[in-house]
Amino acid sequence: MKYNQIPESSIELNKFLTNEHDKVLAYIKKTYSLDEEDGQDIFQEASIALYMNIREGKLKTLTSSLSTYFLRICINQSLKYLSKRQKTIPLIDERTLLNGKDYDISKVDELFEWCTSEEDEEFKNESERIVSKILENLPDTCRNIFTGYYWQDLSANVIANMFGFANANSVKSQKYKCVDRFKKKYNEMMRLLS
Amino acid sequence: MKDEKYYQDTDERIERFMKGEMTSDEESDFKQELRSDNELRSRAMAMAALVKGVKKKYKEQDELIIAENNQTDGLEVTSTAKRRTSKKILWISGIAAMLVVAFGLYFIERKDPTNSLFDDYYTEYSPAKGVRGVEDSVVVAELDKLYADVADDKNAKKAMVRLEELYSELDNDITYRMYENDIAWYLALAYIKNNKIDKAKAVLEKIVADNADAPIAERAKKLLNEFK
Repeated sequence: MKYNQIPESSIELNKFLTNEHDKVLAYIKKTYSLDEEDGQDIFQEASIALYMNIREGKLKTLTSSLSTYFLRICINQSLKYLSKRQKTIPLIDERTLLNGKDYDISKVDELFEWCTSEEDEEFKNESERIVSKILENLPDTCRNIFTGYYWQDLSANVIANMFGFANANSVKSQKYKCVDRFKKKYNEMMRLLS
Repeated sequence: MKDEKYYQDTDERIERFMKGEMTSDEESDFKQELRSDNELRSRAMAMAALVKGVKKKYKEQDELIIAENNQTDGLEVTSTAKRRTSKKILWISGIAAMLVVAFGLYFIERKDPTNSLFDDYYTEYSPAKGVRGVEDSVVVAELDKLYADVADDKNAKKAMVRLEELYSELDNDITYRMYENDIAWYLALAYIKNNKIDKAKAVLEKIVADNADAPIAERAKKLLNEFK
């Protein structure tokens, strides 16, 4: 999908917006009871806003993921839209958007090293390559859940609304199966290394 | 036997550690458990690797997007997007497009079905972005050439033979094992190109069996259906 006001030369941004489209649209439509047309308009306006913010250098010190930042723009646009039409604005608690604290990469590293007793850089690099390969080949459901949880730090409720799960418990149930699947493949590949 | 609730709770504990949410006593106890419980350690290691991998992959993508667009060249972005596209224009465009496609198809010659199938499913290889070591770059370059040769009438047979060799060694070779799905996919296409349909089907069936629900399995299923 191309966006009229974003140049075609912004290849990565256009790819990003294409990837975000279905899940963000699903989320704002469900959360704010928007119809398809209004949802699409809001998405398109938010895309322009994102592009302009990047160009104006506002994202130089981005602390969250770009996806979460963009989701927040869409939420703000949705609230503005509802306010203009004097519709009831749902009370949104920011804390329900995210899943608590962000992951501390130093604790993640600490855990990995504790479990492997390996400090060899080459070993860590190989592990990273294996993870990257496995992620590419995962089913979309697992990749979406992992991205939602571990990159965007979204809550299970938000992930449920984005991807059409029945509820947060369904997301958690699917997540554990996806972790199992990932672990099986990862251990298989790591065994070949040793 | 441990049930789903046990694993969900375990995953939450591991995540709490990685978020720095445990007290120092909790951390100490958790680390002791990791020493003695192989299954817990294996799961924690995989999850740590997963979180690191996801963060690294998407951080690189985000930085690429910001760098791509973070340039001031005087380009003005016009204000709000066009709202509602005229339905009448959409209708007329749709009918015109259908007429063009129908007209075009009328004049397309029918090719040999196998060649046609190959052309429908072959795409140029597009390796994933990221920093590579020297060895990995060499492998990717070799595979890139092989996959291109699959589509080249002069080199297709030679490419097929080499891909067969690599495919048979996948279980023992970590370097090529990283690319196992691509190797299998292009080998299947090479078999089709060289009219070895039974061999192609065998490879595609293995792709489906090994990658349930993944995009590559869906592609393989779709191609297998073409043979029915």
